[in-house]
Amino acid sequence: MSVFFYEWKKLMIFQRGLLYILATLLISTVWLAVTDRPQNSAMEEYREEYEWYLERLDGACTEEKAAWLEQEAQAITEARYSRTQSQESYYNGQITQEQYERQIAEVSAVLINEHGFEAAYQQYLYICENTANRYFLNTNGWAGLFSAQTLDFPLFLVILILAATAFCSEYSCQMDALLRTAPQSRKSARSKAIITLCAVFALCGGLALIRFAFFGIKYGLPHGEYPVQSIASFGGSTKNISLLAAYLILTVLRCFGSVYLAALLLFTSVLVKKYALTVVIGVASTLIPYIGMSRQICYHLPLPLPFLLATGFLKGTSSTEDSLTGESIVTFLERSPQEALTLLGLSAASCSLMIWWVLRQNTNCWQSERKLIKRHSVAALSLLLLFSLSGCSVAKSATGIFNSASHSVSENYSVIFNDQTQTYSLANRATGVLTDLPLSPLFGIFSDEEYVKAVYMDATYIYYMVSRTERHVDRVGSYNSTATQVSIVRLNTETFDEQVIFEKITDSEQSLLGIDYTVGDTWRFLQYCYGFFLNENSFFFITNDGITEVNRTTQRTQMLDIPTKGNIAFDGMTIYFINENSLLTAYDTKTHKAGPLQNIVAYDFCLTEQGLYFINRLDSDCVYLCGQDGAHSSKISNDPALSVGYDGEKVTIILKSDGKEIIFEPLFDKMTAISGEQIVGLALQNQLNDLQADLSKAKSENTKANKEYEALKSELLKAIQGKSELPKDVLSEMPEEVRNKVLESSKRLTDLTLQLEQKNGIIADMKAEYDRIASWSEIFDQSDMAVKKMICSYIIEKVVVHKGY
Amino acid sequence: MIRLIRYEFIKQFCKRSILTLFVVFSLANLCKIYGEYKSYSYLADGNGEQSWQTLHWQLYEEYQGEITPEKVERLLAVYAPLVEATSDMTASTATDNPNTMTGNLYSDRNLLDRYFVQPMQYFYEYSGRSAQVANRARQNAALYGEWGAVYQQRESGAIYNLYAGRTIPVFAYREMCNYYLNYDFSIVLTLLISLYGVIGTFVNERETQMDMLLLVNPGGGRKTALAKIIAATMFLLLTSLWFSLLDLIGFAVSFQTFEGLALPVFAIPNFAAASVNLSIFQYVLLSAALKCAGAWVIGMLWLLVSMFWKNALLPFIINFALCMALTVSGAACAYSNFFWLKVLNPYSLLTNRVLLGKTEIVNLVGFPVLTWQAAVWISLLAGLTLAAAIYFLSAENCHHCIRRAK
Repeated sequence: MSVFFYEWKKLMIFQRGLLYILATLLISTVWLAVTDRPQNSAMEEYREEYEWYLERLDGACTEEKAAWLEQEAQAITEARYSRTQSQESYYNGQITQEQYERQIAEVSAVLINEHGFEAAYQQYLYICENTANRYFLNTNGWAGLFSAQTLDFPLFLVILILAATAFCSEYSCQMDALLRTAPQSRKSARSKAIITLCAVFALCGGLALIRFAFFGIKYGLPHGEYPVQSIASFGGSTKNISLLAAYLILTVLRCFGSVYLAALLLFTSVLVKKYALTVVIGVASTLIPYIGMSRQICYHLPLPLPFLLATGFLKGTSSTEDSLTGESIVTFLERSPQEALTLLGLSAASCSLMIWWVLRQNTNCWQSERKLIKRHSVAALSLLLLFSLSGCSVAKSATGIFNSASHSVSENYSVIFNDQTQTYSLANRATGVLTDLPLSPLFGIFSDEEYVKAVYMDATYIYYMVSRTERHVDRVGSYNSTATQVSIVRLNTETFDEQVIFEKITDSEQSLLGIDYTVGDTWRFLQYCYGFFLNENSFFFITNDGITEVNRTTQRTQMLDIPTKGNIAFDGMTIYFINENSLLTAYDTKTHKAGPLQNIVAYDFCLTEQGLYFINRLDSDCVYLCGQDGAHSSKISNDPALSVGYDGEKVTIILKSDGKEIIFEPLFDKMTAISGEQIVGLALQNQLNDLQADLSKAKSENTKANKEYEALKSELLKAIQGKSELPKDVLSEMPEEVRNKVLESSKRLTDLTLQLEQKNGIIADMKAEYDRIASWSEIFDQSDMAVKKMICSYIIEKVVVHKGY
Repeated sequence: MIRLIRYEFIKQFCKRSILTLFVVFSLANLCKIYGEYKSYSYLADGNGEQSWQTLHWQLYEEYQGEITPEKVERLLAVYAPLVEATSDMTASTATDNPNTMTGNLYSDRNLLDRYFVQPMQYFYEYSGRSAQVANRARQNAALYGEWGAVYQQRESGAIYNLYAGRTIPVFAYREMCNYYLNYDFSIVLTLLISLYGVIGTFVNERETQMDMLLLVNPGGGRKTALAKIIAATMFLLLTSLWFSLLDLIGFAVSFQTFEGLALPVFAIPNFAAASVNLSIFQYVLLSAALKCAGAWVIGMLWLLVSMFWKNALLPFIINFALCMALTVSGAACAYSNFFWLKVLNPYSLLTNRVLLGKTEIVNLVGFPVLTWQAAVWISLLAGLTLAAAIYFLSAENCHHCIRRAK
C-alpha cells in the first residue's frame, strides 16, 4: 500500500477525521432544517396567490408590468370598497340577494389573490429603486441561500481538528524525529497536507451543496440567470453577475478560505509543534479580526477570515447617518473585482508558501539539498506578517373570554387604558384602587420607548405585551445599536408574581458580539401587533393584516386567514370573527377549520359567558343573543344598534338612532326579558303535564265507574221487579265489584288532586323566589364585588365542568 | 504547599508562548481601544484652534463642577441663540464664520448639545426621575402590604432603598467612562488566553506521561492537583485583572483624561437604572472583581473537562465550543427579561454591565436578590463545586494508598 493510503487511513479512520466530517454534515443539515425560517414570510404564506402574480410579472420590470401592477392596485382598492358597499346595500335592503351575490362574485374574482398581491407589490417597490438590475422572482430560496453571512462555526471547529491533528499527532508522540529519518518523509508530509486540504475542501463544498439542495427543495431556486441585485442583501452591488454565478463565486471563495485556514494551521503546527498553541493561533487569527474589526477592514486582510465570510466581496456600499451631525458615514465600501483578485492572489501565494514550508520542514536531511537555515521559523513568520500587513489599507390560558374591541376584566381586577397618557392602569374591582401597569416602578421612567402594547386577561392572570427599544452606544456590544424587543409578561393577581412567557427581538437585522447578521422577517409583525390572546398551546397576535398564531413549544408561526378590522373574540378554543361576507364565523384552533355560525349575518358582535351578542343585519340591525354554536338565537333589543361590546361585566349597546349607550347585565336581563310565570312554568311544565294527564284519566275512569255502578243498580232494581233478563243471583254479585272500582278511582282522583295542589304551592314558592332574585338585579348593579359574589353564590349552587370544556 | 503552587504556576503559566500571547493580545486590545476613540469620539479631530477637542476643554473649564442655576443660565444663553438660528436649517453652512467658535453655526450647536446641554440636562433631571421610581416603589410596597404579597413588598422596598435620594449634583466629562463601561472586546481576549493557559494544566503531564511519575512522588497526586487548581485560579484572576486594568489605562490614554471617574455610575445613560449606588471608579473595581469571578468559574469548567484527555486538541475544541455556547447564549439574552438565564450563565459576570446596568431582581427563596448578587453567589458555588470535583476526581497518591493499606 502506498504512503498516501497509510496517511489517509491514519488521519481519516484512526484519528476519526471522516467521522468529524460526516458528523458536521449531518449536524449542519439538521440544524438548517430545524432553524430555517423564510426570509419573506408573506411569499411563503400565500405562495399560490403570489405565484399567480409572479407568472405575469416574472423577469425584468417593464413599463407594461409596472402599469399593470398599478392598475391591479387600483382595482383591488376599488374591489375592497365595492365589497363593503355591496354588503351595506344588501343588508340595508337596497339590493336583492341575487344582485348582491352577483356583485360579490365579481368582486371576489378581483380579490382572489389579494394577499399575494401585497407581497408582489412590496417587491415592486424594491425593484423600482433600480429597475435595470432588479428582477421579479420568488426570492425566498436565493435569499435563504445568501443569508449565511456569518462564520460557520461547526466548519471552523472541524477545520481546527483536522488540520491541527495532521502534524501535531506526530509531534505529541515524537514520531516526527523518526519520520524524518525515513526515505519517504517528504512523501508522507505531502500526503498529510493533500489529504487535509482535500478533506477541508470537500467538507466546505459538501456544506455548500447541502445548502443549495435544501433551499432548492424547500423554496425552489428559480432563474439563476437573474441579476444578484434582485436579492435585497446585494441590492447596492454594482457587480454585473447572476444569482447562480454569485453563489458559485461565494462557494469557491469559502472553499479557498477553508483551505487557507487549514494551510495556516498546518504551517503553525509545524512551527510551534503543540496542539494547544496551534489551535489558539488559528482561533485568534480568525476570531480577533472577526469580533474586533469592522467588516470594512476585515475584507482587506490577507487572512482566511474574509474568504470564509465571502459575501462582502459581492456586496455593495452601505452607509449610515451620523445621529448628531446627520452626515452620511460609509460603513462598508464595495470591493472592486481587481481588489478582490489582488487579495485572493496574495492569499493564494501566502497559502502556497506555507504549504511549501511545511513540506520542506518535513523533508529529511539526506533529501535536502541545502543546509537548514537557522532561525527559519522566525523568517517564515516574518514573511507571513509582512504579507498580512501588506493587505491592510487604511484608506478604505385557555378559559377566559376575550373581545379585541373591548377590555376584559379578570376575577378581581380590570385594566383601564388612559387615552391621553397612552398608559394602562390596574384597577382593583373591590376597592377601586388604581395601580400602574406594569407594577415595576422602573418601567418607562428612564426610557420613552418602553410601553405596554396590549393586555389579555384570563381568570386570575393578566398578560401584558411590552415593547422596549434599546439603544446602545457601542458596536461591540450584544445587539445592534438599536434593537426592539417584544415580550409577554404574565401577572398573577393573587400572588402578584410576574413571569415572562414570551420574548422576541423583532428586528430582522441583528448583531451579536458586534457581528451583524440577518434573520428572516418572522417576528417583524410583533412591531405592528395591537392585541393578543393565548391558550395553553399557542399565542395569537392581532395585526392589521390578520392573526398570527405562534406555537408556544416550537415557536412556529402561522398566519391565520382571519380579517381583523372588526371584533375578534376568543373563548380559549374558538376564535369568533366576522368574515369578509359579514358572516359570523368560528375558527377552531385545534382542528384549524373555520365555518360560519348558522349563517348569522352580523354587523358587530361580542362574546359573553351567555353566548354571542350580535347585531343582526338581516333584522334591521337589532341585537340578538345566541349560543356559542350560533343556535337558539333570540332577540334582545328592538332598537337598531351601531355596536355591541362586553367588558366582562356588562354588555354595552350603542344605538344607531341617537348614539345612546345602553348597558345591561346579561344575567338578569335574561330573567327580566321573559315573564316570571313563563320561567317558573317552564321549569315544572313536564311534571304538571304528567300530573294533569293522570288526573284527567283518573277522572274519566271514576266517571265511567260511577256510570257503570248506577246502570248496575237500575238493572238490579229491574231484576227485583222481575223486568230484567239477567238472573237475580248473577246481578247480586256484580255491584260489589263495580263499587270497589268506583272507590279505587275516587281514591286515585283524591291523591292526584292533592299532588296537583302541592305542585301549585311549589310554583307559588318558586315565583316568589324568582321575584326576589329578579329584584336583586338592581342591587347587583350597584353592589361591590363581594356582594355580587354573595348574590351569585346564592343563585348558583355548583358549576359542573365536563371534559373538553 | 506554597512552593508547590509556585512551581506549578511557573511551569504552567510562565511560558514563553503565554507571555507572547499576553503581549500580542494587549497590543491588539490597545489598538482596538484607540480605534473606539477614533471611530466614536467627536473630540478625535486634532488639536487645531477651532477643533472640538480644543474648544471642548476650554468650555469644560467653565462648566465643570457643581451644577448651579448660574451655570445653566450661562450655558443656555450661548446655546439658545444657536438653536434658534439653526432650527429651520436655513442658517449659513460656511465653515469659516468668524462669529462662531468652530467656524460653523451647526458645528457650534452640535458641540454644545452633545458635550454640555444633553449631559447637564440628564444630570439635572435624573434626581426627579429616580424620585419618581422611589415614590412608585413606596406606593407599591404599601399596596402589596395591604394585599398580603410579602415578596413583592420586599422587592418594592429594595427598589425604594436603591433609588431614594439618587442625585447627580456635579457636571463632569463622561464620554470616556461611557465608552469604557460599554467596552467588552477584552473579554474575548481574556477568554482566549485563559483557555490556552488552563488547557495545558493537566494535559501537558498526561501527554508526556509525567502524571504516572507524579503519583509516586510524596508531593504528587491530589496535593499536586490542589496546587494546580490554585495556580490556575491565580492565573485566571491575574489575566482578568490585567485586562481590566489595561482597558482603563487604554481608554484614559486614548481620551487623554481620567475625568468622570468620580461621577455616580448612573450618570451614564445606559446605567440610568443601575443596580448599584457607586461611583464609576468604585464600579470599575467591582466590575473587575466580577470579571475575575466569571473567568474563574469558566476556567474551572475548562480544567475539569481537560483533565480527562491525553492531548490538548479535543479538550481545547470542546472547551472552545463550550465557551462559544456560553458567550453566544449570554450575549443573546443580555437584555432579556428572562433574568435567570443571565444569573446562571457565568459569561454575564464577564460582561457584567448586563447585570449591573439594570435593576433586575430575582426571587431567591422568597427574598428579592439583585441579579448580580445572585450571579456571584451561584457562580462561586458552581466554581467551588467544580474545583472540588477536580480535586476528588484526580488520581490519589500511591504513598497514601499504601499507608492506608498498611
